[in-house]
Amino acid sequence: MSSVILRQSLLRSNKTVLMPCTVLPMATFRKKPKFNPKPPQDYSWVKMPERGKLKLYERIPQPNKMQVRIWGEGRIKETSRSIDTRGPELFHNNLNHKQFGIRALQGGELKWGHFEMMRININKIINEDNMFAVWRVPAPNKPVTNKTEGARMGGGKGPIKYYVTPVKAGRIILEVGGHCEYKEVSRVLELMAANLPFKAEAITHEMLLEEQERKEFIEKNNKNPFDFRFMLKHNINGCRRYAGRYDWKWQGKYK
Amino acid sequence: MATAVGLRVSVRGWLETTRPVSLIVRHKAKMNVKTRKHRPMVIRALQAITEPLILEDLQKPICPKTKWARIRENEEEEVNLYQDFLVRKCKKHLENAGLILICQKLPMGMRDTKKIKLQLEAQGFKMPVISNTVMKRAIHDTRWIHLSPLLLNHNFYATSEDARLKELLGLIRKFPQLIPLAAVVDNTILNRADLLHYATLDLEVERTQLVTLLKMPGERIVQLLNNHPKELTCNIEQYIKQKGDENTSS
Repeated sequence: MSSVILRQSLLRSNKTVLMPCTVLPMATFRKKPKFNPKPPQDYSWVKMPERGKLKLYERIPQPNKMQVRIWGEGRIKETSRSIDTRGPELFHNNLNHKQFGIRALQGGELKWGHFEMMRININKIINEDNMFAVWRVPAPNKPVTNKTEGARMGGGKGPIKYYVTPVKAGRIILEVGGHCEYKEVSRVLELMAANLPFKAEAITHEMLLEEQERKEFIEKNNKNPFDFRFMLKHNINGCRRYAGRYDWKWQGKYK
Repeated sequence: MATAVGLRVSVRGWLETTRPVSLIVRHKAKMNVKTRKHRPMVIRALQAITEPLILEDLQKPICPKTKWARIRENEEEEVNLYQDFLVRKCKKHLENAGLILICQKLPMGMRDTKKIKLQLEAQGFKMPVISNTVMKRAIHDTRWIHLSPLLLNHNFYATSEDARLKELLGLIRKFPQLIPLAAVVDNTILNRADLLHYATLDLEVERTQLVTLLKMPGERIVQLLNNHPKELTCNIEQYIKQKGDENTSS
């Protein structure tokens, strides 16, 4: 006999009977999460900038007056300085507005298309009355050249194909903040971080503080007597054959 | 091939190194940063060996815990401000109400609950919705703690400022899904039998009877005290009358 039929038959009869527990459906035994709303946060310390939405970056940078005077009005080619993407970021690795942002975990190059993708998707979620978003990287300014397909070697450097911004590991790419919580913004930030050409993550100010505390804790309580520098110094297992100057500098963490 | 000035190799093969004066490294090709290739095995092995070792992380058990063990570990008593607010509201209800009726609530539809609510509010009663966890916290360390055996299954509460239990029971009898279990009337807890007996009493008649009973001893005392002077005055009046009749006859 199903629980529904039994229940209906008991209700029709005028007898007041205590229902046994086994008649109740299983859904009543499922544990529901307790409703525990947090009190509203205080955002009086947040300083809102003038411009709320992300700025549109140009695909091709305009040359300076000085550059035009010296080199003329043509576009200038540059060497492919791979050092721009190597190593850790030492300066732009903290959140200025101390709320939320996207951080690069590896070095790489950002094209104009990546900027547009981030700008369009983040400007959709921003309400200019309460929230803001700010770029922390400059517009594409580094020219990248490429020879046409099938072209033979020689004939000089290829023409400029597009412009990029070089990004080092640990650099903050953009910041989002205002009168909002991380839950409102995390979904879009994580999506944007996954769509970038290098490994990136969405972070908060609290995550950065925890990371720093963890680093200090590890430094104090590390029981491992061996260091990467020790290994290189004593050439353990012939590692100097595969190590370069930047392994001495960055302890093998960055390429 | 890396070369380092100052390298000495002994007969047994142990390397005895000194600080290199100059270091020359030559790669076969330029280090390609854009393509994500693995580093050589030697470097990767050394990176694994030189990772930091912390005793607290090493002391964690290797075997994975069962689901319930993990849940019990993570369960901490969180400060639930919303529940604290509900508990305060419930305590106010209990203190201000002259009558609280607790019934067992069998499953019933939304229409029936609406009906009950409207009928109660028309008569001046209230129908607060209080969960068992909130009620348990509210009656903890109070004089209503003896209601805790009732807080097991789904409950129905009806309150009012006046103790009009008869009218309330008359309304609730129309709904067989509600079974009265107990009531709190004028700061006294009544079980089911006392509750039903209390509802059958006519309070005005009982009150008048009580008042007369209380008055009786006082009235008796007054009567007894006034008895002697009354008799004396009656006797004196009678004597005066007799004397007057005798004088007139003589």
